[in-house]
Amino acid sequence: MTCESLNQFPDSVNFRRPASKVMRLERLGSAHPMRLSFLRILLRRVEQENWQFKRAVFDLDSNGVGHAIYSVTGPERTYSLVCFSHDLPADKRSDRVIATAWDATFTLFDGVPDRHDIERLEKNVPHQEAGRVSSRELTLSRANRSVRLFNDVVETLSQGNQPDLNALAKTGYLMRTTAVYGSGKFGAADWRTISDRPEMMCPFQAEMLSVWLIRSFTIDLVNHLAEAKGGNSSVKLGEAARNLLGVGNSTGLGMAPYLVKHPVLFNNLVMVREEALARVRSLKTASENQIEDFSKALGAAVENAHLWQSEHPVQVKKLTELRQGLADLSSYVNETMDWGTAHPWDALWQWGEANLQIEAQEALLSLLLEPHGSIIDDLACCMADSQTVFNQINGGMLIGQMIDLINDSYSWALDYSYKEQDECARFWYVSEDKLEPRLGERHSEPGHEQELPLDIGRQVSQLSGQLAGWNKDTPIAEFLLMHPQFRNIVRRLQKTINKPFAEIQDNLISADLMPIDMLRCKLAFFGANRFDPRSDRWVRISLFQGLPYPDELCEVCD
Amino acid sequence: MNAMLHNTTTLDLSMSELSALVLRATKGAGFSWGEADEAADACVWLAQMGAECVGPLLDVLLDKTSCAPDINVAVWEGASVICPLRSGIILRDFVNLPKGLAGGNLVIKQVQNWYFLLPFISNSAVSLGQNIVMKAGADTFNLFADGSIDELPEIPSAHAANIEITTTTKNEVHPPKVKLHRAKITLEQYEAISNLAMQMTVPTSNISEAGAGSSGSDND
Repeated sequence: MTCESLNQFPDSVNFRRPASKVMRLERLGSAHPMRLSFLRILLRRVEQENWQFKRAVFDLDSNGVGHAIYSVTGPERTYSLVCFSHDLPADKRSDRVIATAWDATFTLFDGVPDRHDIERLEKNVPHQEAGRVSSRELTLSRANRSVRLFNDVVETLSQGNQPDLNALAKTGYLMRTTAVYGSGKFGAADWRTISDRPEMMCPFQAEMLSVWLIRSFTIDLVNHLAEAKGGNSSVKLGEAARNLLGVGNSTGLGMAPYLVKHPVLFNNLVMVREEALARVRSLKTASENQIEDFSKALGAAVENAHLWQSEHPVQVKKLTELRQGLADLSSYVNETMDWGTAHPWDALWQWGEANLQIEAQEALLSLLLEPHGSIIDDLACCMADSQTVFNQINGGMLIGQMIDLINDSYSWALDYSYKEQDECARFWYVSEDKLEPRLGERHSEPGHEQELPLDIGRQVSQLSGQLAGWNKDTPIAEFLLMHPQFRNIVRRLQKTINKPFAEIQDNLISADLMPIDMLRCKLAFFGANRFDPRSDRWVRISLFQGLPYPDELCEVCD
Repeated sequence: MNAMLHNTTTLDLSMSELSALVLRATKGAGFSWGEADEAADACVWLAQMGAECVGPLLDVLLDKTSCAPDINVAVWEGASVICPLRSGIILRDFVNLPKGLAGGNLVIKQVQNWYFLLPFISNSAVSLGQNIVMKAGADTFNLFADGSIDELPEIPSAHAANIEITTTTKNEVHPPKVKLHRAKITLEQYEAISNLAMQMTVPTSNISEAGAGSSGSDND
């Protein structure tokens, strides 16, 4: 299926932002969740298809040790989150990938597991990377408690009281996942084997479903522990408190290279978002309902920015910009905006580009999409990368065509002097201990001989230099025969033809690279909010906060 | 090694696991990243066809005697036996060029571990839109323009053989191309390929270790 047939907004082409603006890392690192984020796509489907929800098993002792199973059933299939809950000593609790034990571990099972499945999973899932799952499992994940808040909530509920809502809002979750593996990791099913299912066609739907069901488990767990402690005196977590809680997530460098390693998928994600923005901007008028929905979304964004906390200097600055920007936006919308003007949404967008910092501009993008589901939600089906095995190099492409391709689409890569110390200060590598991506200091640490090919700009620059000495009518196959080390970048350049949003248009090995920008970009596409960096390469976020729970959105079955 | 693997003799890998492992192992064995990509694709193709994949790959990666062919002559050959990965890559790169299959049938002399050529020849058939007959010594394979292939035999010995590649006409419909979605490999193969993969890793430095995680406690 191509997206072209879906496009009822041919004018939108006139309102698209150029890749040279969109794909700068500073802007990508200011991305906000939006209605085309993966978790919102999942929830819309669940609601539209009237999925059923069932807490099939909840077998935990008074310490919270045991297992639980949560199932959801759509039109054709059932998926079950199998949860193993543990009693983890504080000294074992770490969010890092080097951890070997967690407060809870999970897998998303394809169907309804029987006793034999549970026995098999019980031997493997709690061990995470040190275990194996099978093609019946779609994800593997784990979570740690936000100890102080978790214990306070249990204690308060056990005494028959509701917890302090301000404290809940400040942290935003009771448990945070430290990894959610999918797509064939550790033996799980490959995404390609389930990508023909409508509910799994969009990216990361199995992962989002897992986290959504984990959210239910975290609530049930505190209620269970409170009851075990307080007996009849205890109460369950109230609705107001539940709504303030999402699922936290701790994410490190491991996620950063993903966007570079999947250029076609990355292009599709950004293209869909940008097309959505362009469609909204191309609208000639704004209806009262749309304006009202936009104002509601703006109000919620102002409140969220107020509650969003971080101590990291980078994020503190961004939060300041965001709060000021949203305040300015609110004033403009309430006092100055003329909704009767032609192309009012575009007028608002242009005001934002002229008057807001990047952080607030990207927030405005998300806000503009919010009231326009009827004209943009269909774009979600264009996000997946349907590429199959053997994306072969076109050896017949002439060197002159390759040079043109570089000049047309990768000229940004030629703007850096990669021989300067600061422009090649870093190198990406795979760590020996956990086989995870890491970032090294080229001029002071060993290992750059094993560098991962994530230095896209530098590779393009080197290729460009080498090609300059060749006859433009020579096929690239002849060049590669002499220089096989350029196969990787030649393949990439060919793969990204007509994919303007495939590349982060910055030097990914420079001294001033901020890896958290890459993390935030991807996490915003997940639908994450409350970005709270803990270092320049480690961030905590919240998922599903303020969104419906499975027992609110689905028909609940006994 | 994964602690849970001690009690098993074979491993059931997802295709993405196989691809990632082969990519790293091929790079670890000294090939370029681009060549490693091709090796990963080739292994996934073999596994999808229900064929042995990691065994032939290990033969290729551990063979230090083979080389790329000289293709500026009528019969492709080299100073020593020919590497199937490098010759397969060249075969595909030139598939639509006069030096390649578009220019006529080909003979490649003394290809070591020639079984590993099959994915590249199959892909060439798809690219050309023509069926291909491949003869390797006494063995003959039909590789079709729709990406399907005759039943593959047990993996032959790693001996070198002259390869004759002949294009024929496109013909009838064949069985589904992808037969399997999982790759079964022995624990011995897993250990061998993992050892190669480890050669492209780097010990984490203290600086990186300190910066990779949160600087604060996770018991908050």
